[in-house]
Amino acid sequence: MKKSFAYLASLISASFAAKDTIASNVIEDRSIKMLDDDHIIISKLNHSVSNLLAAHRSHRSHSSHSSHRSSAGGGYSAPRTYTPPSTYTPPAKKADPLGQTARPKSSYPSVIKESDLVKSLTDKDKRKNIIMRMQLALQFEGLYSGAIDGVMGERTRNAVKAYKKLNGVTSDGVMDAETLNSLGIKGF
Amino acid sequence: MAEAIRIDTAAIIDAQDWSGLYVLEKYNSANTDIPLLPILTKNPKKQNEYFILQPFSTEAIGSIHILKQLDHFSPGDIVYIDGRHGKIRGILNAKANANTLLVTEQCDNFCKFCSQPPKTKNDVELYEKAALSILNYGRNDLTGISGGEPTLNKNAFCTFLQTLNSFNNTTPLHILTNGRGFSEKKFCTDVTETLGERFCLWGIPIYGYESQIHNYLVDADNAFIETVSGIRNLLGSGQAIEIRIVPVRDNLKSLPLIIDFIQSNLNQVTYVSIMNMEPKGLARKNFNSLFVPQHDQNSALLEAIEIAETHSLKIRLFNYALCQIDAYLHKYACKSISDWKNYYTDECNACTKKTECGGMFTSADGRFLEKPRAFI
Repeated sequence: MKKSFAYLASLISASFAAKDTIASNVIEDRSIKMLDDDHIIISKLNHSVSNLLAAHRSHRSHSSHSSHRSSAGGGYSAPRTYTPPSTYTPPAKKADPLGQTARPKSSYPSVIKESDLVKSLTDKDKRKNIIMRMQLALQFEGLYSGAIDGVMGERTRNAVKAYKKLNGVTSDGVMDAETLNSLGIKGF
Repeated sequence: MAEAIRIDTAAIIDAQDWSGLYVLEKYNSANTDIPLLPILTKNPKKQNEYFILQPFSTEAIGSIHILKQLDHFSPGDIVYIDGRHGKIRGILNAKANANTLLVTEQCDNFCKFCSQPPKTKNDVELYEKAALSILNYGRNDLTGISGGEPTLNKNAFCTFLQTLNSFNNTTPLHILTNGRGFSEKKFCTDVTETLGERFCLWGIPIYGYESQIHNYLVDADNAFIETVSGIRNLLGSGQAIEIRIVPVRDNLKSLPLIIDFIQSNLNQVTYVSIMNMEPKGLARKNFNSLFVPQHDQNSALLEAIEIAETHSLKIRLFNYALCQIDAYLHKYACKSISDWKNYYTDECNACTKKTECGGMFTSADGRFLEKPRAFI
């Protein structure tokens, strides 16, 4: 059955010029055996999004396809490192690039402090959001596979435990300021 | 480097510890069941001061000073504060002509003309940042996903798509990949099933009509056959594909053969884009051995387009300046260069075709600039 569809597909895509040249070039490719039925997905004719018939050739709703597509700059992540707040010292101030007079450093707290976190966690919405952010981060670390629901359940606690252990600190399941800072979640 | 037509960065101070993603001014989305980012909002009393607010709070927990007005940003944009370099940068911008998110800098191809050469460091949190940005953006614009190779870390890529799904996000995606991962049937099925009805266009490069040239240019064994199998699998699963070809000295002559290969073997692709090389990264390093002036590409481009037209294959030219190519090719040329790295020379101001023309890359300056010849 599959074979016959493959044959059908090749009939539809039958080329005219230079097909033989191309074919012979490709056959010389020893790895071509990968292109058999076992390795290739054959489009089913009654597939809901079958490309054979639906031919995705006009998506008017997406007119802006003509982009070279490159993201601005390189990686925009600061490396995740554990910085225990007790020994935390702010990095030396960079030279002001535009030569303005030095401005006094902001008097606001710069990273999450344990006391702020405790305060935030008493607010229902804030608490949910902080846990969701943490679940999302742990999920991409490959440590959490549950739902991102903002509920501090057993799986979330185990993930926190695993993350702390990986980073060489205590392996309790408590969500604390250090853990959040190190996961890049700031400002709570 | 020349100044781009849309500047997407600004210098900031007092931001050393505030590195991270923020939403500018207000949330665009009414959905509060998503992981929300903190907000950056203007201090009404002080012109260049911005407050940092946490979600569900009106009390500022910090502030930064921006040295230049953020005219090119709009409320609801996602921005990134790079505290270490004292910079704020647009990530998803309503005013940009295209938004693209970088999800990894790792890659299994090592293209000789790569504008952003791959790195090896673990950067899995970029997927998380990309997902957070899309979820917080609230607009449903076509968003590019780029790398590196976005599908190299198969788990992270699937998790990324599943995360978007789990918050009922329907943002259409334009994913740039080398497609090699999809030669694995299971991965292809997993991804296409996760995508479901989400619109997704896959931009996949083919640089030769057979393995030798392609593998040489991407500097990887098996790359050609894996890419072609990957494309076949994606097509078989009903996905929309854009084939991307970069003509350089090694493959320019075989450009018509590549088109012929595509129309005979992969003819269900949505369209083919021929993209002129950007003189950046490795392309700058290998410039002398790769570079072909645009006007010397005319005959190969004309022949390629003729074959494509014969077989009703949609074809477009990216990153070509109108004054450099044959007049017949003008209708195929797109304004494809992202605005944050796009510019026009002084000579272009006199040109009558400036508004239709894609202009130059900001990296194309000095000896890398092909001298414009304004249409008067």
